[in-house]
Order: sequence, then C-alpha cells, then structure tokens
Amino acid sequence: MNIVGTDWESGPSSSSDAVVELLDRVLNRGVVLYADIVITLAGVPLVGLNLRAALGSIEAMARAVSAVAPTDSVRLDESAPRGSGDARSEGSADSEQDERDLGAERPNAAAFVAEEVRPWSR
Amino acid sequence: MNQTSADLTALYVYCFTEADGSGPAHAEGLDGAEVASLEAKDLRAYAHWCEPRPYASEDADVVKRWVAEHHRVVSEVWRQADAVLPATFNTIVQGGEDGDASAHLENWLEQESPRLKDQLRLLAGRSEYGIQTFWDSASYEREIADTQRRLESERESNRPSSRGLAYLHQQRLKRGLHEQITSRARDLFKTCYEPVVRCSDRVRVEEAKSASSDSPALMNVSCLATSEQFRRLSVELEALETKEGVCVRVVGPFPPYSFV
Repeated sequence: MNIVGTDWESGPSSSSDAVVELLDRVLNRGVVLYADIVITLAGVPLVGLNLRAALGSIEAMARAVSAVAPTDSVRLDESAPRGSGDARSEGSADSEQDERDLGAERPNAAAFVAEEVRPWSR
Repeated sequence: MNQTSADLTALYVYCFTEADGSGPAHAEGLDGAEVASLEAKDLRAYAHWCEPRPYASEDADVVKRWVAEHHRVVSEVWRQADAVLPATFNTIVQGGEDGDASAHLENWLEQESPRLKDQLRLLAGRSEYGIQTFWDSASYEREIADTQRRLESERESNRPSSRGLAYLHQQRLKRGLHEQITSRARDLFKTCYEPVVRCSDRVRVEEAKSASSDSPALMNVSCLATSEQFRRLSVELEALETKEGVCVRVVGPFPPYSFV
C-alpha cells in the first residue's frame, strides 16, 4: 500500500498526486463564511477565479508529469521569491476578465464558472 | 505596490479552534504575513491582516506556494489543538461601517459558536485521509484474457450455421463480457468500500479518477478516522491488495478539510 504523507511544512517533497489532493482540499473545502462579511462582488464570492484557472493547469501538468514519472515530479516551490509573479496587486479581481481567462484555460469553463458562483453556504 | 497598515483592513482566515487549547506562538502565513489569533465566545480564529481583496494569480507556482502556506498554518495549529476547523482558501473578512474586520469576525464566531463547537467536538482526535483504489493492470488483463479464451472456445464449439446468427452470437458474447467486467468492478468497489466505512467515523465518496488507462480507478473516498481506526483500516487495505489484486493509495493525514 502506498501511503503519501502530507508534511509539506518542513519542505515540500510530495508526489504530484498528493499536491493535487492538497490543492483540491485547500481550495474547494473547509469552513465557508456567509457572504455578509466576506469579500464579494455583487453577491458573488470572488474566490479568485484566476486561481481556479491556474489549478486547471496544475492538474493537467500533474497528470502529464505523473504519466512519465509517477513520484516527486511536481513540487511545491517554497523557495520561490515571495510575490514573484503575484498578480494580486495588479487588479486581477475583474470578474469578466477572469471568466474570459478561464474560458481560454478550460474547455468546460461554463460549467466551472457556474459551480463557482453558487451562494456561500453557512 | 507598497502595502501600508492603512491598506490592511481585512482579515484572511486560516482556521478555528477552541479558545482553551494551545496554539503556535508564532506563525507565518501567505507571503510571510504574521498570523494572529482572535478570540470570541470560547473560540479562536487564526488570521492575518490583509488588503480587502482575494488572493488571485494565474501563475501556478504562486498558487501552489499560497496553498502550501495556508496548509502549513492550519497544520501547525492542528498539531497543537485537539481539533481544528480549516477555513477554505481565500476566506477574507472585510470591515464595514458597523465595525472593522475583527469585529465582524468576532460577531460571526459568537453567532456560529454552537455549531462550530459541535463540529470541533466531533473532529477531536481525528484526521482526514484520501484513499484511492485501482485495479492492478496485470491481473486485470489476465482476467480479461482468461475470460476471452473461455468465450472463444465456447464460440468454436457452438458455431452457428449462418453469418447473421454468428454476428448475433458474437454480440451476445461481447455483452456478456462487458457485464462480467462491470459486475466485477461493482463487487470490488463494495469490497474496498466496506472496510473504509467500518474503520472510519465519516466517509465522503469522491469522483474516481484513473491513474492511467491500464489502471482503472475503483474507488476514491475521503474518510475521517482516529489513528487507531486508521491503523485497523491500513491492515484491512493491505489484506485487500494481497487478496483481490487491487492497488491502494492513501494520502494523509490531513486536517479535516472535507468534513466541516
């Protein structure tokens, strides 16, 4: 039985599958606060649609890499300089642009966006 | 863009715990932000002050780093607290005319206190594991080949006299083979799923994703278990690998992201 640990704190060295599992959990699950006090735009939670587009790329990359090298292929790069490539301060929260970007990244963008705009649950 | 304290009017939230438990004295969050704790109604939230907008990037490396940093904070808290409720990524509380972000978060904790405390009690001492099982491709192919050989031999001994009847006969054989494989997959799923249910407090069935074309996925679940339950589950899953020829992959332990 293959048991993959999740000790990313001391230095990421996990398999690509484990990275995807972690991304899925941190990005899609966990406690959700209702919309009154969280950051929203016209009642739609702005959970960084660009993040989801990037996640799509990560999953595709992980699948491709794991096909040729099943372990240790994709690593969480904590050594990267903080803020490198960070578009957060570049006004990337424009939802229309996000949706266009998303459509370019993922063929099933419509379904993906539809899932994203569901109301926050308590 | 330089950030000033005036810009940092929102709170990025990592997780929640009971206030009477211990927690990390110091933790670094996203982009090195200092994580602080905030308490209300016997509950504690871990958060850092940030700009009132979501973290967003098209750079996969940046996203991965943020996710790792979020997970690291939650894990550090989880190691010291009896139970933790992880917040989903980009949970950012904003301020308003009726109070700043910390006041909003405190109000939320007060309002949600009974529910959050119930959840924390149920999660105490438990971890999340992701469990996937696949058909071992070699034994899977052997099984198919054996079945095909048997069907071929049957076809030879019962060869029909006309081409039309031969076609119908062949279709029936194909359908039989498909049904046999489907039935086997169903049985194997049940065989793999039962010990997970038996050795976990909660199970969440996920979409099964095949690792490759010759290794079909049978089952993909997340389960919530104590360390003792997981030890028993590991023994059962290892026995399944030997007996049924399936391949089991376990990822974890995670803080209970899927069970909050």
